[in-house]
Amino acid sequence: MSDNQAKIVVRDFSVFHGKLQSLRSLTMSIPAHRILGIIGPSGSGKTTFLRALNRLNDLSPETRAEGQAVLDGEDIYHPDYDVVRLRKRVGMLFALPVALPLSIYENVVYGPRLSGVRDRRRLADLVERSLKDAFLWDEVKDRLQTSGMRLSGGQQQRLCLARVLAMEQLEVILLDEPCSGLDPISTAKIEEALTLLKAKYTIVLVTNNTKQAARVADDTAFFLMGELVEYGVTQRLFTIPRDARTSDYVTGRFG
Amino acid sequence: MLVAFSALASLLLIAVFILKEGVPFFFKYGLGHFLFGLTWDPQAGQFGIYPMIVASLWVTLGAMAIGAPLGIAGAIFLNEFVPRSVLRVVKPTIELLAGIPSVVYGFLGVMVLAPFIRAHLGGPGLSILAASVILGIMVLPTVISISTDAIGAVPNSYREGALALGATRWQSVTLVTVKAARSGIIASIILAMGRALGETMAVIMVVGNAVKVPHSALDSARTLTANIALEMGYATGLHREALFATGVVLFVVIMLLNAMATSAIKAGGRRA
Repeated sequence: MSDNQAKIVVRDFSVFHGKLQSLRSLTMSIPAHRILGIIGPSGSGKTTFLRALNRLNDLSPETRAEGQAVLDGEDIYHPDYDVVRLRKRVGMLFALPVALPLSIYENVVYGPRLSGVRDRRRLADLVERSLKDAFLWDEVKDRLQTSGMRLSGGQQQRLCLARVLAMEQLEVILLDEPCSGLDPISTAKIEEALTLLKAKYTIVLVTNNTKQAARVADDTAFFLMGELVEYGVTQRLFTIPRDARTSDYVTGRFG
Repeated sequence: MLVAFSALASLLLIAVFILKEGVPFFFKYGLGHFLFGLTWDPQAGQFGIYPMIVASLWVTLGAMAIGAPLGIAGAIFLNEFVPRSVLRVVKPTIELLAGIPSVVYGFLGVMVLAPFIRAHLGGPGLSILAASVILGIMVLPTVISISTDAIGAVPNSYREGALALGATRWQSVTLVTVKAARSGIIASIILAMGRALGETMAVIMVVGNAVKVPHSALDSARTLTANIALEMGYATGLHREALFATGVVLFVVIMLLNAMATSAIKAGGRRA
């Protein structure tokens, strides 16, 4: 692992959906300014873990978390912790692109507007910078006022990425299988964007596609049935896995 | 098939019948005189429905001013801030309100509302305000039921998308959910307007029925529907035709409102 300071640390972290335990006392630390790829078969708790990191799991009343999840030294599950501020610092990109029913421009400035940014110049700058960072600017710069829902799936996903990037307090980007429904070109653009973005942010990428993890992730974690099986530098994990289950999964013997 | 066509056929029959009885009057009396005439005096052969058009508009607008915000707020509350189990009980209960006969709403207006207005705000009590309040309550089931469905149809991913960007619960409701459900909400308001404009019995009981152009919400007035219902029993000849012509005016306005509702729903369907 790297010498970088840990951005997120979880200790004995478990998540329950009703009686079902979907994460089993996870302990790991996620270093800053790197891309962590999380791989594992479906139902292994990858998405649950990701949603726990910006507390979207709070929305379902039967879900609860145990243990510690610490961002920059603060426990994000502490009763006094400000969830709205957490979600502004920890952005999330979903598997299905969710363009809000607004124009492209309004989609991007949605986050900043919520934080009270009113200045038109600043908003326009944010839109341009975020769309460029998401590799979408050239395709939409002439039609920023058209509905975001008119874009193709791949473009919508990059629009969603731009929307996350427009948040000025953003520090961590969580991506939940962001390319699962996308064409190869959009996928390549998002992957390229991520490798550039890690200079500014800490990135956690959940993916069903082990090749994608191998391509873009600096570190990789393998989840199975809610447990962290193995966690290490991507190169090492894919070439000389320490656990037989990891080996089976990355070589495609199951999952 | 047969049922569907018989519904269509009866709609056509009604349209043809009203038009046949009412339209000739437009030519005999003059459309301008009819719509903008200030005096309604059948004995003297004066058939100006302008005061009633104004009264109908005020009553309808008043009803919407009361019913629409309440209904939409109720729909938002039921969808976003209350557990599903409560929604499942409350929504059918609200829809039950639609089944109460309008005469009963009229009773409520005459016995409770009109005396209250007379005592606290002045005027005769039986007034545009009383009719607006009663109609505002009567349209609540329409607004709540359709708006609730529209808001409920907004995908959860929109809410999560907004919350994941650091929106508070309230911001995600006002900025995303309501916008996404906009066409359904607009449709509910337009349908409610049609209902308010067409309501007769409850309005007759509380609006006072004086034929004059109202100058304040506390004035008594007569709506188009009330005019037809009150006088049809004894009207003959030209008077009778004038009432049918009033029906034509109502019919056209309600058709327009329905067309607007349909196009609002369609526009929403295209966007989604």
